[in-house]
Amino acid sequence: MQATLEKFHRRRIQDRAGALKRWVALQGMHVEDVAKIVLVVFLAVAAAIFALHALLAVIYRYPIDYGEGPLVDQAMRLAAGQNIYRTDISSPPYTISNYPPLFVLSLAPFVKLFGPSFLPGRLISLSCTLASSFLLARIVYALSRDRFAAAVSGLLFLAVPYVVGWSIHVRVDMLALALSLAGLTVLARWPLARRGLIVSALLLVAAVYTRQSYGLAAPLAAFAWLWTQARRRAAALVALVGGVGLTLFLALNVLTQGGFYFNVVTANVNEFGLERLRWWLDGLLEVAPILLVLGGFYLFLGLRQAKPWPLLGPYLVGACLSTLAIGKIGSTINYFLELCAALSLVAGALVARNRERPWLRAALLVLLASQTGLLMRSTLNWRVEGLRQRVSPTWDPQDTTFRDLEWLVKTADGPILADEFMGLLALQKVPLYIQPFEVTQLANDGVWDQTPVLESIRRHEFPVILIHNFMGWLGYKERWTPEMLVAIMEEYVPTELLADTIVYRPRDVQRDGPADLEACPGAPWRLPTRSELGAWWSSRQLTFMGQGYEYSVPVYAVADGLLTRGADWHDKVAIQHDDPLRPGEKVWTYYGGMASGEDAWSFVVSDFPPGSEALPVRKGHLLGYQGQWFRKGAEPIWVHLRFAVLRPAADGSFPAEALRLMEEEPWPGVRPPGVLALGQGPLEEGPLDPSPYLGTVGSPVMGRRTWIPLRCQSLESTQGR
Amino acid sequence: MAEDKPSARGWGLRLLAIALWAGTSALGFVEILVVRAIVLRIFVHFAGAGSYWGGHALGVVTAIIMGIACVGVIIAGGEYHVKHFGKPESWQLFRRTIAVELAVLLLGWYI
Repeated sequence: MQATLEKFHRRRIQDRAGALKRWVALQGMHVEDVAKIVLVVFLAVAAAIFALHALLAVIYRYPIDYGEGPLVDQAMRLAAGQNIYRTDISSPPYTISNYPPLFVLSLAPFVKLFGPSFLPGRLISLSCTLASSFLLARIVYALSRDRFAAAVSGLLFLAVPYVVGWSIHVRVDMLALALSLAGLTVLARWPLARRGLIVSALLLVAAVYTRQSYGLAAPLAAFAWLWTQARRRAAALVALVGGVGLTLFLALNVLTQGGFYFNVVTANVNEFGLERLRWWLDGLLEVAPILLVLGGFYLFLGLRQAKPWPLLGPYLVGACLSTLAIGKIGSTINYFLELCAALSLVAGALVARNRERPWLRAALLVLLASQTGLLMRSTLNWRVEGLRQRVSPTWDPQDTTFRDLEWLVKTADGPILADEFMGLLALQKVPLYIQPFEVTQLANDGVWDQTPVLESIRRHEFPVILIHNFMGWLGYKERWTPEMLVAIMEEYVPTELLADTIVYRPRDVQRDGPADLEACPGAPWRLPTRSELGAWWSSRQLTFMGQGYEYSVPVYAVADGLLTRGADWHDKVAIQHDDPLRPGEKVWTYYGGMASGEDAWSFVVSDFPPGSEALPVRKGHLLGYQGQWFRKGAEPIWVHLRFAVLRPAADGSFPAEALRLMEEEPWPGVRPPGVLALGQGPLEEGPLDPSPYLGTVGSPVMGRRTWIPLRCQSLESTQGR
Repeated sequence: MAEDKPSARGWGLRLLAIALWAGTSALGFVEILVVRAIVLRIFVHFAGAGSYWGGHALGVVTAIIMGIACVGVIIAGGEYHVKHFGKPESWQLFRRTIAVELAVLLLGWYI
């Protein structure tokens, strides 16, 4: 009796446990349903952002990226029947074709038919991005038969900011990625079919002949995948890819007399920096932490999983390895594309793998929704903002900046040196004279002799030189050799700033003075610092932009006086002088921006610690160095010194109120309508015009932020006579 | 007749359904503002701060569309729940409505 009762109780408990289990499983399905919808909404919004970004970029007429111009130029030359892989670059054009020819070949017919334009190249890249998204979904579906997981994989790829950003560039990467994924799709779908093997091998070779770095991840994955299916086929794939690839390489090399190897291999072996690699990887970790953790988890635990791992695992490993090349100088986000594709595949595979575990799958979907949110945020803040600023650098719908630059190129009487915007030359059917970054790297490696270019610069053979300046990054230091920059600074003078590009024209010493000008002739004061990149007016403050990194361009006292540095002035000092224009009166000079952009490390010399008051200084006394600091809470700006001349306060002390107003002035944004700039309105405490003190030419539009070349009044008037 | 009278569980489920309908409806109204904010934020990223009137117009249009959608969801959803009360379809619709509203709220946090 007792035993029967116990048995009855045990069964009852078991029934209850079973019912609870069923209830939990049912709720899990409901929770999974909710998580699915949340993820779908996130992915749909991400896809909409991708589409809007693509629309904005594809219809844009001008270059978006440094690398677009050279590819259109190569397509022009190829369409004209010229060799794009020259061995000898001792004479112009000093250009390098970094990549194998497939993308340029696909572009050449469009250039031939419709003339140079960025539209066909951007459409090719965009189509290939969409194709890659579809192929990722196809691979996941072929391996799992899970439509939802496949869709997640494909759409997640389109949410990644690196993909969004690169999908609209006239660059080789998207075509290469689509071809390599097509090769993998064929193998995933028909691993044992002979025709599939041949087609896949040809697609993989095509990917390598679009971009050489695609010779690692996809072929490795294809090999490992086939190895688990039929080892003989794996060996056949290696033979096919290797054979066709090598034959093509030899043929191209013979045809170009070694030029193919020189351009595609030698010219790509650039300096590698661990710091650079770390910087990029930190960025990746910030953008895609969940995908990276899932990728690591998959690599670690995936070994136990039978089907998709032999394809996805090696692909992920190979993609990680090719990503490491981002440590090379000049590398950028395109090195992440293969890794993004691999991580999207892994995400899809994990979603598919947990089909029978609703709670786990729901948790995974929520994680992926969070990841999509992070990706979207990054896309909007970084890629979309970047594109918008490129398309409309002044935030003005009527912006004519690029038309002005195009006009400069169109009307130039001779060859033009340009970097970021060399695509403008291609648009005007002007062959490129130089690809500055590529030849600079060759010069640094001792492979290319830059003497002829230096001589041409010194002979003023170029009517215009366009050097782009990125805020907070001295990209021109990577793109031009130090010798070229010295020659340009000495022989040319900055005359305009258009779309963050400084327009240099040949220096006329009579008008512009020598390059090492320390003071304008006849001026009461010396210049406070160097200004090779020109000067910027802002409400009678003069911002001197020197050439160099932070903490390298010295700042000096303009005249004898008494120096003050407030207790909380980490980036600035002020000096009280006898006013040379109003004898008997005093005047203050202000020197700001002498601190690092990010962490506000002060570049003011230690002779003047915070809290200094009335320390005597002599004319030419070293005060500190130019920095990128602008103000608390603001983005760093170019290496600069902010200089102003101020009336003293009523008691003769430094006019703190004027400093506050000056520092609160919007920069580099647009002043709200109706708000007057300092010096424009009746503000008595506003800064004085520094021109009479320094002997420089004033801004014709006083009170507005205006970029001007730094010129001396005396030299201009000499020329006028 | 007495058999038609709902049990205590039935009343509970009715109350739950009414509470869910009222809650999702109220949240729907809140989400008019959330969606408008999301759309405007995305717009500003693409068009820049200078496009004041474009943004203003977009905000108004979004609010109108969302308002219509919200009223539609409340009325049509209410009708549906009355018609299918107690059936799985009704609870599924609640689940999906909550999921979409949750997604919109989360989106507002990310964007």
